[in-house]
Amino acid sequence: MPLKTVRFKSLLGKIFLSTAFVFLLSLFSVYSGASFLIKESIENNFKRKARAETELLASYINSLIKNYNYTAAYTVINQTIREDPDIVGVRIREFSSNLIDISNIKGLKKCKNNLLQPCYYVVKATLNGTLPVEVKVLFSTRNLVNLIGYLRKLLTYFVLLLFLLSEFTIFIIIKDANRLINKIVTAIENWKKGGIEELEEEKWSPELENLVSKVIEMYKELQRERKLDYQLLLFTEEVLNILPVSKNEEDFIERIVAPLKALFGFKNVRLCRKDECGKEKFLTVTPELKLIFIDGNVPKTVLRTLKNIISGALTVIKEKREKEELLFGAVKALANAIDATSSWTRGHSEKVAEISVEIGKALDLPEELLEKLRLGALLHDIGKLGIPPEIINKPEKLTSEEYEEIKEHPIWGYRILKPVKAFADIIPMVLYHHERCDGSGYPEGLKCSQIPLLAKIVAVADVIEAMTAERPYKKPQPLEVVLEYLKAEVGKKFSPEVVEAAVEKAEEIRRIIERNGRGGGI
Amino acid sequence: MKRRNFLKLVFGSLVPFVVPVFSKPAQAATPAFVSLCNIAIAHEYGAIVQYINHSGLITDKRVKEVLDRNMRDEIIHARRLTEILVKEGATPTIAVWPPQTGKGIKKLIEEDIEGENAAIKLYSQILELSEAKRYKDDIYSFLKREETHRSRLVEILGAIKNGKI
Repeated sequence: MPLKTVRFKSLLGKIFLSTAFVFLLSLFSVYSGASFLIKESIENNFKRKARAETELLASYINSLIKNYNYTAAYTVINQTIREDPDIVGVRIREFSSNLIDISNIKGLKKCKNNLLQPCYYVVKATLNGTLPVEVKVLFSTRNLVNLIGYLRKLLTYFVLLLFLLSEFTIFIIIKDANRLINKIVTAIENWKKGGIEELEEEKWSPELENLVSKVIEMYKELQRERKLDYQLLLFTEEVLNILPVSKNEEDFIERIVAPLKALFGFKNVRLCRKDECGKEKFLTVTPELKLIFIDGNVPKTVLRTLKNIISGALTVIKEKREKEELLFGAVKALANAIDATSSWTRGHSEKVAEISVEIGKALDLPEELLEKLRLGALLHDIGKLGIPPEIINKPEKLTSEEYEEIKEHPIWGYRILKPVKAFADIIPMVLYHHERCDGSGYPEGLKCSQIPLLAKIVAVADVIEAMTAERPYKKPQPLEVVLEYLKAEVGKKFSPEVVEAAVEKAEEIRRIIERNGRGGGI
Repeated sequence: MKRRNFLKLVFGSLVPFVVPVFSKPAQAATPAFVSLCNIAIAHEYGAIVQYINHSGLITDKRVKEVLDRNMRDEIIHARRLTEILVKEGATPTIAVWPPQTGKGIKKLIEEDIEGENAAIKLYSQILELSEAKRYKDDIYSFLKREETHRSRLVEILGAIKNGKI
C-alpha cells in the first residue's frame, strides 16, 4: 500500500475519533439538559397536583367534621390512601395532637429539598372552624422517582441509540470517503497508466463528481502541458538542426514551417516584414520581422516560447550572416589585393571562385562545402604576396630559379593563413591547388587520392581561368580547347570526376569568363 | 488523563442517571381500631366541651341537668377509651373534635342529637372490627349510653317543639 494512503487513513481515523468525541460531549450536554428539564417539569407538576388534592380533601373533611361524620371522615381518608398511589397518609391535627392519623410511611423519610429519592412530601391545609384544625396529606415520591428514572433510562437509551446510529453513519461516510479518496489518490499515482481514465469511467456521487472532475481537469491540463513541453523540445531540436543550414532568416522560416505544422497543428506560418503584416495577428520576433501563426490551437504561453526560440534562432542567423558577409568581404578584398599584384591577373581569384562553385554544384556538394570552396578559391593565390612583385609581373618567360620561387607561393599561402583559425578549412585548397594526380605537382607531389577534393576542384578552375585568360607571353585559349586539354589530362594531372563536372558546367563557366572579361593567374 | 480513562469517567458518571431507584411501598398501615378509637376519644372530648357550652347557654334547669348527665357519661367514655388505647400500645389523642354551637335551644339540642347519632354510628363501626372483641362490653355499653343520650335529647327536642320548654 502506498505511504500516502496509509497517512490518509490515519487522518480519517483521527477525524472519526474527534467527531465521535465531540458528538459524545454534545449528546451528554443534551442529555443533561433534557434530564434536568424532565426532572423540573415532573417535580413541579407533582407539587401542583399534591397541593390541589390536599385542598380538595381538606375542604371535604371540613364538611364532614362539622357534621360529626366520624366514620365518613375515616372511610374517605382510608379510601383515599388505598386508591391514590401517591398519598401514603393523612393527618388531621388539632393543638399538635392527632384527630385522625392514618398513614402508611414505614421505611420513608420526610422529604427535604430533593424529591428524587424515596420520601414523603407533606402538604398542609388549615381548616377554619370552632377549633383550629390542620390537615396534612403525605405524598409518596416513589412513583415520581420511578417515573423520572424510567424517563431518564428512556432518554439514555435514546441518546445512546442516537450516538451509535450517528457514529455508525459517520463511520460509513468516512469509510466510503476513505475508499473513494484512496481510489482517487491511487488513480492519481498511477495516472500514467491510465488512472485518469479509470476515474472518468467511475460513477461518482454528486458531492464527489465536482472534485473528481476538477482533478481530471487538472491532470489533463498537466498532460497537455507535458505534451506541449515535449513538442517544444522536439521543435527546439528541429531548430538546432535547421540553424546551421539556413542561409538567411527567410530560409530559416521556410524550413521551420513544416515542423511547426506537424508539432503544433498550425495550418500555416508566415513571416512578414514590418508594415506589411496587415491586420492579421502576429508575434514580433525582431523589430523588422513579424511572425503570423495561422489557425493554431496553442496557448499564449507556448506561443511566447515559440516566439523566443524563433527570435533567438533568427538572431543567431543574422549574426552568422553578418559575420559571413564580413569575412567574405574581407576575403574578397584580400583576393582583389592578391590579384592587384599583377595587372594581368585582375579578377582571377574571383573567377576561379565562381568556376569552383559551379564545379562543386555539379558534384552535388552541400552548401556548407560550397561556401568553403568559394573562400578557398578566392584565397588560393594568397601566397603570391610572399613572391617578389618583379617575378610575378615579369612579362618574359621566367627563369628556372624564378619558376622555383613561384612554386613556393602555396607554401607562402599556408604560412599566411595558418594563424587564422577561421581559415583552417581552406588551407588545403591554398596549399594543394597545384598538386597533380600523377604526383607531378607541387609543393608535396601528392597523388590523386591524397589530394583533397576541394583542392582538386580549385586546381581545375585555376587551369580553366588561366588558360582562357590573356597573358603577356600567350594568347587566351577558347574554353573548348581548355576542356579538351583537361579531358586529355584526366587521370594524369586532373581528377576525372572534377573534369567531368567542369565539362558538365561548361556553359556556366563560359558566362563567368565572358562576364568578367579576360584575366588570369598562375 | 488518557482518552480511555476519560471515557470511563464519562460513562461512569452516567450510571446513576441510567439506573433508576425502584422502591417498593411499605406494607404496614395504622390499625383501624386505633384510628377509630382515637376518633371516638376526640368525639367524647368534643361532646364534653359541647355539652358544657350548651349547658351554659341554655337556661332551662331540666335541660341543663340532662346535658350535665350526658357530659359525665362522655367523660367516663373518654377515660375508658384512653385506657383501652394505652392497653393496645397506641397513643391516645388529646385532640378535640371541633364542637358545634349556635343560637337557640332548639338548634343546640339538634346539634347534640346529631353528635350522638354520629357517636352511635362510630361505636357500631368499631364493634364490627375484630380487635374490638376484647373490649366489646365496654364499647357496647358506650353505644347504649349514646343511644340513651340521644333518647334524652330527642325527648327534650319534642318538648321544645310542643312548647313545653
